[in-house]
Amino acid sequence: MAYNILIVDDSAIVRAVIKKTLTLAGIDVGELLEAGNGKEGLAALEENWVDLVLADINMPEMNGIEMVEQMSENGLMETTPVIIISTEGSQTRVEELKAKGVRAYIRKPFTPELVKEVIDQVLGADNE
Amino acid sequence: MSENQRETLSEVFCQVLEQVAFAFGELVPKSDLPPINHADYLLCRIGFEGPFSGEIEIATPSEYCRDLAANTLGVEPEEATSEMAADALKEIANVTCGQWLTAIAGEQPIFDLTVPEIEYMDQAEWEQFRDSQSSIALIVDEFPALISMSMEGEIPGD
Repeated sequence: MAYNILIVDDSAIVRAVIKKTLTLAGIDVGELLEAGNGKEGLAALEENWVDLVLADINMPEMNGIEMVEQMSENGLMETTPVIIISTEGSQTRVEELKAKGVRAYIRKPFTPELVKEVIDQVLGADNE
Repeated sequence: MSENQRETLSEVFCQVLEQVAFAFGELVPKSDLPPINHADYLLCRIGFEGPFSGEIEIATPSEYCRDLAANTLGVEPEEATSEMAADALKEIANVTCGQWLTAIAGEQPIFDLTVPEIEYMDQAEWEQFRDSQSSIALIVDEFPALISMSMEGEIPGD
């Protein structure tokens, strides 16, 4: 099954690295959508069916936490799994994000193997 | 910057360079920096706020930032644009800041990071940054790099 994936990160180079990582990890990607901040991410979610969101925290205009909170208000967190990919290492923050409905957290820098393992877990759990 | 902070910051920076861009750096005395003038330099600034606050600045020649971008993306240096070069340095600063905060403060405290900002520096600005007491010098793949860290508040256990 091919998955529509939305990458939300303000860095074009990071979005490119994540795209490459998805290919290297052998993830079956259908449509790949990109957004440069949380606001653009929400707009992409309104206009497209998305199976998985990969989002950074630290972004201008609307950060990843604000985007997740908005997704909760819109009921999107129940239907669209979100994985945060960020540099921050605080376990307290990770727990806070999970309490908001975020399915998993990947810390940068990451390997294709780790990304595959986490995506498989998240999407596998959704398909069970 | 204390000796301990200086060592931790340079170690984290070198690890991040290796993991993100397959680049290799080492801390050197400023007198060991190659006396070569570059056309221009990129300075990336990222702030953090939490139990203590401050900012980290990283500078290196912009031509080397293209190499970092190319390494990160797995493309030829000629294919790396100036936007990619700036993006690469921003990402390295972002990951360095996050990893350094965990290295010195542990995994419990929450820090909010600012969005990294880029400035171009000319030779005179580079030399001023190099000669400031707050900066440390590294050689990364034969190119010079400078890092500085400023902070308000106390680091636990420092």
